[in-house]
Amino acid sequence: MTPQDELDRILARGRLSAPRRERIFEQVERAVRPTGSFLRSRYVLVAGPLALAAAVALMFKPWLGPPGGYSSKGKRTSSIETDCSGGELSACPRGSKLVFRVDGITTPVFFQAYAEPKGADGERVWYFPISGAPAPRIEPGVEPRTLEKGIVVGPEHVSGAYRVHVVLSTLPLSRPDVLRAEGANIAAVETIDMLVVDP
Amino acid sequence: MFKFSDSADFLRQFKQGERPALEKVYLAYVDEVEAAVKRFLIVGARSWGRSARVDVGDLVQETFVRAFGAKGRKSFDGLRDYGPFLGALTRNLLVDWARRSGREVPSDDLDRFSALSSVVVDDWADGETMSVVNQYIVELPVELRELHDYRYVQCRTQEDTCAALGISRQTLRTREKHLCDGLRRRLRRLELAPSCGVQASDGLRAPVAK
Repeated sequence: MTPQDELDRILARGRLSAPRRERIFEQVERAVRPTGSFLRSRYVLVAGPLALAAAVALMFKPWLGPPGGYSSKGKRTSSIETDCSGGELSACPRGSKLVFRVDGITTPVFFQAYAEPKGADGERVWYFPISGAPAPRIEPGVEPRTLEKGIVVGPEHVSGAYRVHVVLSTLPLSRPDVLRAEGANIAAVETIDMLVVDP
Repeated sequence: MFKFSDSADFLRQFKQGERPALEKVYLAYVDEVEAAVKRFLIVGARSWGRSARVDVGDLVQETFVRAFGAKGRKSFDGLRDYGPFLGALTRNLLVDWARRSGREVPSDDLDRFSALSSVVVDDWADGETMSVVNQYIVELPVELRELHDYRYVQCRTQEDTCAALGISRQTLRTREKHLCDGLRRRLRRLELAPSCGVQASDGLRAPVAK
């Protein structure tokens, strides 16, 4: 929920205001927009060449993920969804669980992830692989796949901003390989910003 | 309210995901979905406690994304009423969401969540904030108070509001901005919120269902 959503909510005394409803519909429509109507939309005229340029650029640097940004609850970052069970990723209380979902994969992939503190405090925190928990394998499917094991945002996380790096690969990777995130085995790389707060 | 069976053409447009049809269905059912989500959260909050923050709007959005997605549109046959179909889908989504986020699924009769009907929740912020917002609204100049009534109380569309108030879309947007900016400034002045709003955000603060 954005600050504007929050303001609208209290102006509507707890209900969904008309402005919020309109924003929700826009999000829904964008999420489900059929290809045909999308191609007819005027935005394609502008966005099409830009997307093409971006695609060409990515062909030359396929290991680069998109820049991070706070993912609000349930919001997608291309093929990987992340939730903080105790709140939002923009204020995730320590003790919450991170839940990852993967969508749009067509072949089995292995899931590796770690969180890197953005500030001077804190250490890198590994989620997968760790001792006793190798990178889980995710099978493709029609529905998004939720990782069976949620990640507890434990005491090893200091309060502050983290960037969560998720690396999907066709073979399980060692930690150094995850950090490099390069090579033919890499299926996708995502970065997601998270702010850990005191509970 | 409308029925898909009234128009084969409308059903076709909906099935194809055409925006006007989706918008019409959305506007017809968003109240009921919101009410069902709130009811689920109210019951769930008894076991989840007050610390959790959940946004009703996010769950409403997820519901419609699922309902309007290709799979959701395909699975609606157009013969039944859409309400029960959407109600069942809403219930399933909420149960999935609760499980996914590690929350206990409310053990009350889940069918109640699919019975789409209205519910009123009046605990939408802490008492001090509620008081400030109410006072702010009372003190609004007439044109902003009318706008607030149409858009935030009656939840009327831009088109309806513009027609009723005899103003352009641009004027409506400008007035909405003034309305929000004014409240944002007042809340900040009183140090009631870090950005604009309040700590409560969810209907999980043991709201009172009337």
